[in-house]
Amino acid sequence: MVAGIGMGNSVHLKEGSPEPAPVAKGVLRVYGMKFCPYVHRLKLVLAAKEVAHETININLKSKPKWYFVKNPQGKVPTIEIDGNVICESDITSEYVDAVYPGRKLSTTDALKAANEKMLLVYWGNKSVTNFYKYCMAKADDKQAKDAALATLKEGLEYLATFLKKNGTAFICGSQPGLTDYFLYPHLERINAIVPVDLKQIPKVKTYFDQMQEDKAVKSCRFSDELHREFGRKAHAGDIEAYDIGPVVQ
Amino acid sequence: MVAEKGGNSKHLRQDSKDPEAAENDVVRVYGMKFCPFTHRLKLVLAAKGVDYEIININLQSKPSWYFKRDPEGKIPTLEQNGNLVMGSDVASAYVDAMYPGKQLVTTDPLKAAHEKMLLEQWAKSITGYHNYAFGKDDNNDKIIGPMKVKEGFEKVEKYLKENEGPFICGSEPGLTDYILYPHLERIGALIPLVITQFDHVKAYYDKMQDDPAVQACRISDEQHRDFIHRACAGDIDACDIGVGK
Repeated sequence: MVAGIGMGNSVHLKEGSPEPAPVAKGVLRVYGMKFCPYVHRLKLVLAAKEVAHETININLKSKPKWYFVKNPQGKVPTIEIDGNVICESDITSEYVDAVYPGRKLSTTDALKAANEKMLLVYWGNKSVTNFYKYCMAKADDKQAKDAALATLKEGLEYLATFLKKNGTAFICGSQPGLTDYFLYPHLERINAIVPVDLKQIPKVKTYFDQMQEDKAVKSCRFSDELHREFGRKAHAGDIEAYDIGPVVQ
Repeated sequence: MVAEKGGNSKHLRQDSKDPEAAENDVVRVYGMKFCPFTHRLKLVLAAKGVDYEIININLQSKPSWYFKRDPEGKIPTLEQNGNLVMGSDVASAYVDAMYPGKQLVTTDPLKAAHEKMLLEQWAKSITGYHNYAFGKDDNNDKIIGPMKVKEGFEKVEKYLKENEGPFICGSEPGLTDYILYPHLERIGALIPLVITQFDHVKAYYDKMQDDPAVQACRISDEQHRDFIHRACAGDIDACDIGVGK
Protein backbone atom coordinates (compact mmCIF):
# COMPACT_ATOMS: atom_id res chain seq x y z
CA MET A 1 0.00 0.00 0.00
CA VAL A 2 1.34 3.41 -0.93
CA ALA A 3 1.37 5.42 2.24
CA GLY A 4 -0.50 8.70 2.02
CA ILE A 5 -2.84 7.53 -0.70
CA GLY A 6 -5.75 7.96 1.72
CA MET A 7 -5.24 11.73 1.42
CA GLY A 8 -5.95 11.60 -2.32
CA ASN A 9 -3.08 11.82 -4.73
CA SER A 10 -4.54 13.69 -7.69
CA VAL A 11 -3.17 17.01 -8.91
CA HIS A 12 -4.52 20.02 -7.04
CA LEU A 13 -6.92 21.90 -9.30
CA LYS A 14 -6.14 25.59 -9.79
CA GLU A 15 -8.00 28.69 -10.90
CA GLY A 16 -8.97 28.29 -14.53
CA SER A 17 -9.28 24.52 -14.30
CA PRO A 18 -12.54 23.14 -15.71
CA GLU A 19 -15.11 22.04 -13.18
CA PRO A 20 -15.08 18.27 -12.67
CA ALA A 21 -18.04 16.23 -13.92
CA PRO A 22 -20.96 16.10 -11.47
CA VAL A 23 -20.74 13.42 -8.81
CA ALA A 24 -22.30 10.13 -9.87
CA LYS A 25 -25.36 9.00 -7.93
CA GLY A 26 -24.54 7.42 -4.57
CA VAL A 27 -20.87 8.38 -4.77
CA LEU A 28 -19.25 10.31 -1.94
CA ARG A 29 -16.93 13.03 -3.21
CA VAL A 30 -14.40 14.78 -0.97
CA TYR A 31 -12.89 18.12 -1.92
CA GLY A 32 -9.57 18.22 -0.13
CA MET A 33 -5.92 19.15 -0.06
CA LYS A 34 -3.29 16.51 0.39
CA PHE A 35 -1.47 18.12 3.32
CA CYS A 36 -4.37 19.79 5.11
CA PRO A 37 -4.74 18.55 8.72
CA TYR A 38 -8.48 19.26 8.65
CA VAL A 39 -8.96 17.17 5.52
CA HIS A 40 -6.74 14.58 7.26
CA ARG A 41 -9.35 14.28 10.07
CA LEU A 42 -12.08 13.39 7.59
CA LYS A 43 -9.78 11.06 5.64
CA LEU A 44 -8.92 9.16 8.82
CA VAL A 45 -12.62 8.69 9.56
CA LEU A 46 -13.32 7.55 5.98
CA ALA A 47 -10.43 5.08 6.21
CA ALA A 48 -11.51 3.79 9.63
CA LYS A 49 -15.06 3.25 8.35
CA GLU A 50 -13.73 1.86 5.03
CA VAL A 51 -15.91 4.23 3.02
CA ALA A 52 -15.13 4.23 -0.69
CA HIS A 53 -15.02 7.75 -2.03
CA GLU A 54 -13.51 9.96 -4.72
CA THR A 55 -11.26 12.91 -4.02
CA ILE A 56 -10.85 16.18 -5.88
CA ASN A 57 -7.86 18.13 -4.61
CA ILE A 58 -8.01 21.92 -4.52
CA ASN A 59 -5.00 24.24 -4.83
CA LEU A 60 -5.59 26.56 -1.87
CA LYS A 61 -3.26 29.25 -3.22
CA SER A 62 -5.14 29.38 -6.53
CA LYS A 63 -8.70 28.27 -5.95
CA PRO A 64 -10.95 27.52 -8.91
CA LYS A 65 -13.99 29.82 -9.08
CA TRP A 66 -16.36 26.85 -9.34
CA TYR A 67 -15.22 25.62 -5.93
CA PHE A 68 -16.76 28.66 -4.21
CA VAL A 69 -20.16 27.45 -5.36
CA LYS A 70 -19.61 24.29 -3.29
CA ASN A 71 -18.09 26.08 -0.29
CA PRO A 72 -18.62 29.88 -0.30
CA GLN A 73 -15.62 30.33 1.97
CA GLY A 74 -13.47 28.24 -0.35
CA LYS A 75 -12.30 26.02 2.52
CA VAL A 76 -11.60 22.30 2.63
CA PRO A 77 -12.79 19.69 3.35
CA THR A 78 -16.21 19.68 1.75
CA ILE A 79 -18.18 16.56 0.89
CA GLU A 80 -20.80 16.16 -1.78
CA ILE A 81 -23.23 13.25 -2.06
CA ASP A 82 -26.50 13.02 -3.98
CA GLY A 83 -26.84 16.78 -4.18
CA ASN A 84 -26.05 17.38 -0.51
CA VAL A 85 -23.03 19.55 0.30
CA ILE A 86 -21.55 19.47 3.80
CA CYS A 87 -18.59 21.56 5.01
CA GLU A 88 -16.12 21.56 7.92
CA SER A 89 -13.95 18.70 9.18
CA ASP A 90 -15.95 17.93 12.32
CA ILE A 91 -19.39 18.24 10.70
CA THR A 92 -18.41 16.03 7.72
CA SER A 93 -16.70 13.47 9.97
CA GLU A 94 -19.70 13.18 12.29
CA TYR A 95 -21.99 12.82 9.26
CA VAL A 96 -19.86 10.03 7.78
CA ASP A 97 -19.71 8.22 11.11
CA ALA A 98 -23.50 8.38 11.49
CA VAL A 99 -24.43 7.42 7.93
CA TYR A 100 -22.03 4.60 7.10
CA PRO A 101 -22.11 1.15 8.67
CA GLY A 102 -19.30 -0.43 10.64
CA ARG A 103 -17.82 0.57 13.95
CA LYS A 104 -19.37 3.74 15.45
CA LEU A 105 -16.53 6.13 16.17
CA SER A 106 -18.42 8.72 18.22
CA THR A 107 -18.51 8.52 22.03
CA THR A 108 -22.00 8.10 23.41
CA ASP A 109 -21.39 8.16 27.17
CA ALA A 110 -22.38 11.68 28.31
CA LEU A 111 -19.50 12.40 30.68
CA LYS A 112 -16.87 10.77 28.46
CA ALA A 113 -18.14 12.78 25.49
CA ALA A 114 -17.97 15.99 27.53
CA ASN A 115 -14.41 15.25 28.69
CA GLU A 116 -13.31 14.47 25.14
CA LYS A 117 -14.82 17.71 23.82
CA MET A 118 -13.04 19.69 26.54
CA LEU A 119 -9.78 17.94 25.60
CA LEU A 120 -10.25 19.02 21.97
CA VAL A 121 -10.95 22.62 23.00
CA TYR A 122 -7.81 22.71 25.13
CA TRP A 123 -5.77 20.95 22.43
CA GLY A 124 -7.01 23.47 19.87
CA ASN A 125 -6.25 26.53 21.99
CA LYS A 126 -2.83 25.38 23.16
CA SER A 127 -1.27 22.98 20.70
CA VAL A 128 -2.99 23.68 17.38
CA THR A 129 -2.93 27.48 17.70
CA ASN A 130 0.69 27.49 18.78
CA PHE A 131 1.75 24.99 16.14
CA TYR A 132 0.70 27.63 13.60
CA LYS A 133 2.23 30.44 15.66
CA TYR A 134 5.50 28.52 15.72
CA CYS A 135 5.44 27.92 11.97
CA MET A 136 4.47 31.52 11.15
CA ALA A 137 7.06 33.13 13.45
CA LYS A 138 10.07 34.57 11.63
CA ALA A 139 13.03 32.19 11.57
CA ASP A 140 15.15 34.50 13.75
CA ASP A 141 12.40 35.42 16.23
CA LYS A 142 13.55 33.15 19.03
CA GLN A 143 11.25 34.76 21.59
CA ALA A 144 8.11 34.15 19.55
CA LYS A 145 9.15 30.60 18.73
CA ASP A 146 10.00 29.78 22.35
CA ALA A 147 6.72 31.24 23.60
CA ALA A 148 4.74 29.24 21.01
CA LEU A 149 6.63 26.09 21.92
CA ALA A 150 5.98 26.51 25.64
CA THR A 151 2.21 26.89 25.17
CA LEU A 152 2.12 24.06 22.62
CA LYS A 153 3.66 21.77 25.24
CA GLU A 154 0.84 22.62 27.67
CA GLY A 155 -1.53 20.95 25.25
CA LEU A 156 0.69 17.86 25.11
CA GLU A 157 0.86 17.72 28.91
CA TYR A 158 -2.93 17.96 29.11
CA LEU A 159 -3.22 15.08 26.65
CA ALA A 160 -0.80 13.04 28.77
CA THR A 161 -2.86 13.72 31.92
CA PHE A 162 -6.05 12.79 30.07
CA LEU A 163 -4.65 9.49 28.85
CA LYS A 164 -3.28 8.66 32.29
CA LYS A 165 -6.63 9.38 33.94
CA ASN A 166 -8.51 7.37 31.32
CA GLY A 167 -6.16 4.42 31.62
CA THR A 168 -6.87 3.40 28.02
CA ALA A 169 -4.62 3.08 24.98
CA PHE A 170 -6.55 5.69 23.01
CA ILE A 171 -8.51 8.81 23.92
CA CYS A 172 -11.79 7.08 23.08
CA GLY A 173 -10.94 3.77 24.71
CA SER A 174 -9.35 0.54 23.54
CA GLN A 175 -9.68 1.60 19.89
CA PRO A 176 -9.26 5.02 18.25
CA GLY A 177 -12.48 6.96 17.90
CA LEU A 178 -13.62 10.28 16.48
CA THR A 179 -11.75 12.32 19.10
CA ASP A 180 -8.51 10.44 18.37
CA TYR A 181 -8.90 11.15 14.65
CA PHE A 182 -9.68 14.84 15.30
CA LEU A 183 -6.60 15.27 17.45
CA TYR A 184 -4.10 13.15 15.57
CA PRO A 185 -3.42 15.23 12.38
CA HIS A 186 -1.83 18.12 14.25
CA LEU A 187 0.06 15.70 16.52
CA GLU A 188 1.57 14.07 13.41
CA ARG A 189 2.68 17.49 12.16
CA ILE A 190 3.96 18.64 15.55
CA ASN A 191 6.09 15.51 15.75
CA ALA A 192 7.46 16.07 12.25
CA ILE A 193 8.07 19.81 12.28
CA VAL A 194 8.31 21.25 15.78
CA PRO A 195 11.47 20.75 17.91
CA VAL A 196 9.68 18.97 20.73
CA ASP A 197 10.82 15.49 21.68
CA LEU A 198 7.68 13.46 22.40
CA LYS A 199 9.86 11.00 24.36
CA GLN A 200 9.94 13.67 27.09
CA ILE A 201 6.21 13.14 27.58
CA PRO A 202 6.08 9.33 27.77
CA LYS A 203 2.30 8.98 27.76
CA VAL A 204 2.06 11.02 24.55
CA LYS A 205 4.95 9.09 22.96
CA THR A 206 3.22 5.78 23.70
CA TYR A 207 -0.04 7.12 22.30
CA PHE A 208 1.68 8.44 19.19
CA ASP A 209 3.40 5.10 18.60
CA GLN A 210 0.14 3.21 19.04
CA MET A 211 -1.56 5.48 16.51
CA GLN A 212 1.18 4.59 13.99
CA GLU A 213 -0.13 1.00 14.10
CA ASP A 214 -3.69 2.06 13.29
CA LYS A 215 -4.69 1.11 9.75
CA ALA A 216 -6.47 4.41 9.11
CA VAL A 217 -3.43 6.38 10.26
CA LYS A 218 -1.17 4.22 8.08
CA SER A 219 -3.29 4.73 4.99
CA CYS A 220 -3.03 8.52 5.28
CA ARG A 221 0.54 8.73 6.56
CA PHE A 222 3.11 10.95 4.93
CA SER A 223 6.74 10.84 5.97
CA ASP A 224 7.93 13.45 8.42
CA GLU A 225 10.34 14.67 5.73
CA LEU A 226 7.48 15.24 3.28
CA HIS A 227 5.56 17.22 5.95
CA ARG A 228 8.63 19.38 6.46
CA GLU A 229 9.13 19.86 2.74
CA PHE A 230 5.50 20.91 2.30
CA GLY A 231 5.77 23.28 5.27
CA ARG A 232 8.87 24.94 3.81
CA LYS A 233 7.43 25.32 0.32
CA ALA A 234 4.00 26.50 1.47
CA HIS A 235 5.58 29.03 3.84
CA ALA A 236 7.67 30.34 0.94
CA GLY A 237 4.49 30.87 -1.10
CA ASP A 238 5.13 28.09 -3.62
CA ILE A 239 1.88 27.44 -5.51
CA GLU A 240 3.14 24.01 -6.54
CA ALA A 241 3.78 22.95 -2.91
CA TYR A 242 0.64 20.82 -2.83
CA ASP A 243 1.68 18.46 -5.60
CA ILE A 244 4.88 17.19 -3.98
CA GLY A 245 5.02 13.57 -2.94
CA PRO A 246 3.08 10.72 -4.56
CA VAL A 247 0.87 12.14 -7.31
CA VAL A 248 -1.50 10.41 -9.72
CA GLN A 249 -2.19 12.39 -12.86
CA MET B 1 -41.55 23.99 36.46
CA VAL B 2 -37.84 23.65 36.94
CA ALA B 3 -36.43 24.92 40.20
CA GLU B 4 -33.54 27.25 39.55
CA LYS B 5 -32.12 27.86 43.00
CA GLY B 6 -30.10 31.01 43.40
CA GLY B 7 -30.75 32.52 39.98
CA ASN B 8 -31.47 35.88 41.47
CA SER B 9 -28.55 35.99 43.87
CA LYS B 10 -25.77 38.55 43.88
CA HIS B 11 -22.82 37.83 41.65
CA LEU B 12 -19.88 36.65 43.74
CA ARG B 13 -16.78 38.79 43.57
CA GLN B 14 -13.10 38.53 44.37
CA ASP B 15 -13.78 39.00 48.08
CA SER B 16 -16.12 35.99 48.25
CA LYS B 17 -15.41 32.64 49.85
CA ASP B 18 -15.36 29.38 47.95
CA PRO B 19 -18.90 27.98 48.24
CA GLU B 20 -19.33 24.56 49.82
CA ALA B 21 -19.48 21.65 47.43
CA ALA B 22 -22.93 20.92 46.02
CA GLU B 23 -24.79 17.97 47.52
CA ASN B 24 -24.80 14.60 45.81
CA ASP B 25 -26.25 14.59 42.32
CA VAL B 26 -27.18 18.26 42.49
CA VAL B 27 -26.52 20.10 39.23
CA ARG B 28 -24.71 23.33 39.94
CA VAL B 29 -24.17 25.97 37.28
CA TYR B 30 -21.63 28.76 37.61
CA GLY B 31 -22.96 31.56 35.42
CA MET B 32 -23.80 35.20 34.99
CA LYS B 33 -27.38 36.45 34.82
CA PHE B 34 -27.02 38.32 31.53
CA CYS B 35 -24.57 36.00 29.81
CA PRO B 36 -26.01 34.55 26.57
CA PHE B 37 -23.89 31.40 26.90
CA THR B 38 -25.18 30.73 30.42
CA HIS B 39 -28.62 31.39 28.93
CA ARG B 40 -28.13 28.52 26.44
CA LEU B 41 -27.49 26.06 29.24
CA LYS B 42 -30.40 27.36 31.32
CA LEU B 43 -32.77 26.90 28.36
CA VAL B 44 -31.67 23.28 27.98
CA LEU B 45 -32.02 22.60 31.73
CA ALA B 46 -35.51 24.14 31.64
CA ALA B 47 -36.51 22.20 28.52
CA LYS B 48 -35.32 18.91 30.08
CA GLY B 49 -37.02 19.68 33.40
CA VAL B 50 -33.75 19.39 35.34
CA ASP B 51 -33.59 21.22 38.69
CA TYR B 52 -30.33 23.02 39.37
CA GLU B 53 -28.69 25.55 41.62
CA ILE B 54 -26.85 28.52 40.23
CA ILE B 55 -23.90 30.43 41.57
CA ASN B 56 -23.56 33.78 39.86
CA ILE B 57 -20.04 35.01 39.13
CA ASN B 58 -19.12 38.68 38.69
CA LEU B 59 -17.04 38.58 35.51
CA GLN B 60 -15.51 42.00 36.22
CA SER B 61 -14.21 40.84 39.58
CA LYS B 62 -13.77 37.08 39.39
CA PRO B 63 -13.22 35.22 42.64
CA SER B 64 -9.85 33.42 42.71
CA TRP B 65 -11.58 30.23 43.87
CA TYR B 66 -13.50 30.11 40.60
CA PHE B 67 -10.28 29.46 38.68
CA LYS B 68 -10.18 26.11 40.48
CA ARG B 69 -13.33 25.24 38.58
CA ASP B 70 -12.22 26.66 35.23
CA PRO B 71 -8.55 27.72 34.93
CA GLU B 72 -9.63 30.12 32.16
CA GLY B 73 -12.24 31.67 34.46
CA LYS B 74 -14.98 31.41 31.85
CA ILE B 75 -18.66 30.65 32.31
CA PRO B 76 -20.85 28.70 32.28
CA THR B 77 -19.39 25.70 34.04
CA LEU B 78 -21.56 22.81 35.19
CA GLU B 79 -20.54 20.89 38.28
CA GLN B 80 -22.07 17.59 39.38
CA ASN B 81 -20.65 15.03 41.81
CA GLY B 82 -17.23 16.59 41.46
CA ASN B 83 -17.31 16.42 37.67
CA LEU B 84 -16.75 19.72 35.87
CA VAL B 85 -18.11 20.41 32.40
CA MET B 86 -16.98 23.68 30.88
CA GLY B 87 -18.60 25.59 28.05
CA SER B 88 -22.23 26.11 27.11
CA ASP B 89 -22.30 23.73 24.13
CA VAL B 90 -20.47 20.90 25.90
CA ALA B 91 -22.55 21.30 29.07
CA SER B 92 -25.82 21.51 27.12
CA ALA B 93 -25.03 18.33 25.18
CA TYR B 94 -24.06 16.67 28.47
CA VAL B 95 -27.40 17.56 30.12
CA ASP B 96 -29.35 16.40 27.08
CA ALA B 97 -27.54 13.05 27.06
CA MET B 98 -27.60 12.51 30.84
CA TYR B 99 -31.28 13.10 31.47
CA PRO B 100 -34.25 11.18 30.16
CA GLY B 101 -37.28 12.69 28.56
CA LYS B 102 -37.27 14.53 25.29
CA GLN B 103 -33.93 14.24 23.44
CA LEU B 104 -33.13 17.71 22.21
CA VAL B 105 -30.28 16.72 19.94
CA THR B 106 -31.05 16.09 16.25
CA THR B 107 -30.21 12.51 15.33
CA ASP B 108 -30.88 12.48 11.59
CA PRO B 109 -27.33 12.81 10.20
CA LEU B 110 -28.13 15.14 7.29
CA LYS B 111 -30.36 17.40 9.35
CA ALA B 112 -27.75 17.45 12.10
CA ALA B 113 -25.09 18.48 9.57
CA HIS B 114 -27.29 21.28 8.19
CA GLU B 115 -28.06 22.56 11.69
CA LYS B 116 -24.36 22.60 12.59
CA MET B 117 -23.54 24.52 9.40
CA LEU B 118 -26.33 26.98 10.20
CA LEU B 119 -24.79 27.60 13.63
CA GLU B 120 -21.46 28.35 11.92
CA GLN B 121 -23.25 31.04 9.90
CA TRP B 122 -25.07 32.29 13.00
CA ALA B 123 -21.68 33.12 14.50
CA LYS B 124 -21.71 36.21 12.23
CA SER B 125 -24.84 37.49 13.99
CA ILE B 126 -23.24 36.85 17.37
CA THR B 127 -20.18 38.87 16.37
CA GLY B 128 -22.37 41.60 14.90
CA TYR B 129 -24.44 41.80 18.08
CA HIS B 130 -21.27 42.06 20.14
CA ASN B 131 -19.88 44.81 17.93
CA TYR B 132 -23.12 46.76 18.20
CA ALA B 133 -23.67 46.28 21.94
CA PHE B 134 -20.15 46.52 23.29
CA GLY B 135 -18.08 48.08 20.52
CA LYS B 136 -16.06 51.10 21.55
CA ASP B 137 -16.11 52.78 18.15
CA ASP B 138 -19.58 54.24 17.71
CA ASN B 139 -18.89 55.31 14.15
CA ASN B 140 -17.98 51.83 12.99
CA ASP B 141 -19.50 49.35 15.40
CA LYS B 142 -23.04 50.70 15.28
CA ILE B 143 -22.99 50.33 11.49
CA ILE B 144 -20.92 47.20 10.97
CA GLY B 145 -22.62 45.39 13.84
CA PRO B 146 -26.10 45.27 12.31
CA MET B 147 -24.60 44.43 8.90
CA LYS B 148 -22.98 41.32 10.35
CA VAL B 149 -26.17 40.48 12.24
CA LYS B 150 -28.05 40.54 8.93
CA GLU B 151 -25.51 38.22 7.28
CA GLY B 152 -26.36 35.55 9.83
CA PHE B 153 -30.07 36.36 9.65
CA GLU B 154 -30.09 35.76 5.91
CA LYS B 155 -28.92 32.19 6.49
CA VAL B 156 -31.52 31.59 9.23
CA GLU B 157 -34.23 33.11 7.02
CA LYS B 158 -33.26 30.78 4.15
CA TYR B 159 -33.13 27.77 6.47
CA LEU B 160 -36.55 28.45 7.96
CA LYS B 161 -38.01 28.99 4.48
CA GLU B 162 -36.57 25.74 3.11
CA ASN B 163 -37.23 23.45 6.06
CA GLU B 164 -40.38 22.29 7.75
CA GLY B 165 -40.53 24.21 11.01
CA PRO B 166 -41.71 26.15 12.74
CA PHE B 167 -38.49 25.64 14.67
CA ILE B 168 -34.99 25.00 13.37
CA CYS B 169 -35.10 21.49 14.81
CA GLY B 170 -38.60 20.80 13.52
CA SER B 171 -42.02 20.82 15.14
CA GLU B 172 -40.53 21.52 18.58
CA PRO B 173 -37.49 23.51 19.69
CA GLY B 174 -34.34 21.43 20.04
CA LEU B 175 -30.71 21.92 21.00
CA THR B 176 -29.93 24.07 17.96
CA ASP B 177 -32.86 26.38 18.72
CA TYR B 178 -31.68 26.82 22.31
CA ILE B 179 -28.09 27.45 21.23
CA LEU B 180 -29.23 30.11 18.78
CA TYR B 181 -31.97 31.81 20.78
CA PRO B 182 -30.07 33.76 23.50
CA HIS B 183 -28.39 36.11 21.03
CA LEU B 184 -31.64 36.43 19.08
CA GLU B 185 -33.37 37.58 22.29
CA ARG B 186 -30.68 40.20 22.82
CA ILE B 187 -30.81 41.39 19.21
CA GLY B 188 -34.57 41.70 19.67
CA ALA B 189 -34.00 43.89 22.71
CA LEU B 190 -31.35 46.11 21.19
CA ILE B 191 -32.04 46.39 17.45
CA PRO B 192 -35.57 44.99 16.95
CA LEU B 193 -35.91 46.67 13.55
CA VAL B 194 -33.39 44.21 12.11
CA ILE B 195 -35.61 41.28 13.06
CA THR B 196 -38.67 42.80 11.37
CA GLN B 197 -36.79 42.92 8.07
CA PHE B 198 -36.83 39.12 7.92
CA ASP B 199 -40.32 37.57 7.81
CA HIS B 200 -39.38 34.04 8.79
CA VAL B 201 -36.95 35.14 11.51
CA LYS B 202 -39.64 37.39 12.98
CA ALA B 203 -42.20 34.58 12.96
CA TYR B 204 -39.60 32.27 14.55
CA TYR B 205 -38.76 34.84 17.22
CA ASP B 206 -42.47 35.22 18.07
CA LYS B 207 -42.99 31.45 18.20
CA MET B 208 -40.06 31.06 20.60
CA GLN B 209 -41.70 33.54 23.01
CA ASP B 210 -44.41 30.91 23.60
CA ASP B 211 -41.91 28.18 24.46
CA PRO B 212 -42.03 27.34 28.21
CA ALA B 213 -38.23 27.06 28.47
CA VAL B 214 -37.78 30.48 26.83
CA GLN B 215 -40.40 31.95 29.17
CA ALA B 216 -38.74 30.41 32.23
CA CYS B 217 -35.43 32.11 31.39
CA ARG B 218 -36.74 35.33 29.84
CA ILE B 219 -35.08 38.60 30.80
CA SER B 220 -37.08 41.67 29.78
CA ASP B 221 -35.88 43.69 26.81
CA GLU B 222 -35.58 46.67 29.14
CA GLN B 223 -33.33 44.78 31.55
CA HIS B 224 -31.13 43.62 28.66
CA ARG B 225 -30.75 47.24 27.50
CA ASP B 226 -30.13 48.44 31.05
CA PHE B 227 -27.40 45.83 31.56
CA ILE B 228 -25.60 46.70 28.32
CA HIS B 229 -25.82 50.40 28.98
CA ARG B 230 -24.34 50.05 32.46
CA ALA B 231 -21.75 47.43 31.46
CA CYS B 232 -20.47 49.71 28.70
CA ALA B 233 -20.22 52.53 31.22
CA GLY B 234 -17.89 50.34 33.26
CA ASP B 235 -20.33 49.57 36.08
CA ILE B 236 -18.95 46.48 37.83
CA ASP B 237 -22.36 45.85 39.42
CA ALA B 238 -24.28 45.88 36.12
CA CYS B 239 -24.74 42.09 36.37
CA ASP B 240 -26.68 42.56 39.63
CA ILE B 241 -29.55 44.46 37.95
CA GLY B 242 -32.83 43.08 39.27
CA VAL B 243 -31.07 40.83 41.75
CA GLY B 244 -32.24 40.37 45.35
CA LYS B 245 -30.16 41.72 48.21
